[in-house]
Amino acid sequence: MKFLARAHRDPLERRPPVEMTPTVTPSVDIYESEQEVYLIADLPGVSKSEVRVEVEKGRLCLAATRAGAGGRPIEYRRDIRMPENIEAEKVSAQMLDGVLRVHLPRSSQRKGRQITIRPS
Amino acid sequence: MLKRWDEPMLERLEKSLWEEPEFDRPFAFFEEFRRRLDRLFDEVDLGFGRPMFHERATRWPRAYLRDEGVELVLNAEVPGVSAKDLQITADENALTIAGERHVEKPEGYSARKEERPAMRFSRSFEFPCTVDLEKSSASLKDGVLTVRVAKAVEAQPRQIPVKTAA
Repeated sequence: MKFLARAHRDPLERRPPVEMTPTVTPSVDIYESEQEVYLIADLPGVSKSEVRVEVEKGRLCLAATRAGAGGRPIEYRRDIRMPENIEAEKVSAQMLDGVLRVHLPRSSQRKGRQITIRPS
Repeated sequence: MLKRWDEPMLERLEKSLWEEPEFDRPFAFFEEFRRRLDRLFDEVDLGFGRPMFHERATRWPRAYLRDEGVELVLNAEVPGVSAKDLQITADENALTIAGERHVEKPEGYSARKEERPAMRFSRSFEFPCTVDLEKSSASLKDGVLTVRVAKAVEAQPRQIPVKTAA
């Protein structure tokens, strides 16, 4: 929607030049099993310390920056929907050859509490 | 993917739409128009259902060749490709990088998104000047390949001193 709003602005309107770092959407593979979600993302040029993975309720935020070709920085960003039952504390990630691999285990207990009804 | 309308194509379209009137099908023009439009969308659609920004729409790997004065530097983004799967060849005219990316599919998982296909690739880059291949090197770090090729001495930039008239 933001894109549409921008596209419909008056093309003759003068806009100040914006200094922006280009944002790239990295390609990902997402695999799911009963136990976990496994995410693989292409982040060429990014070292281990430059990646940020945040897991919130039902969402994974992937962000990374790198010095681009010729010193121009490039930002990688992607938001991915996750199942609600990911255990954020047990998420593990590794970075190898510009490829990020994240294991997101699901919590074993079921969502929603079982309520026992006492006899009155 | 989407062809540009060229002159003969437009001519043929006009001919088929206007010069072959069918009196028993008064809406033939619109039918034909709709059919063509549908076909056009089908063609465009080829890109949307699948991961369009990957091997189809852009050339893989993404690469930049730049001139750094005394040498030419090529950067290519090859995440997940190991050094042994890369072949770099060069002659006096061009540099070619070729290779293969293997993608491991984990066992016991179902795929929700697969945007990182396994692939074989080859891209060539023409040198903009004469080069000295003896002085070239290649390195791979964090999934980015860097190839440096020295320019020939005559192609390197030279400082021209300015003389002041006495």
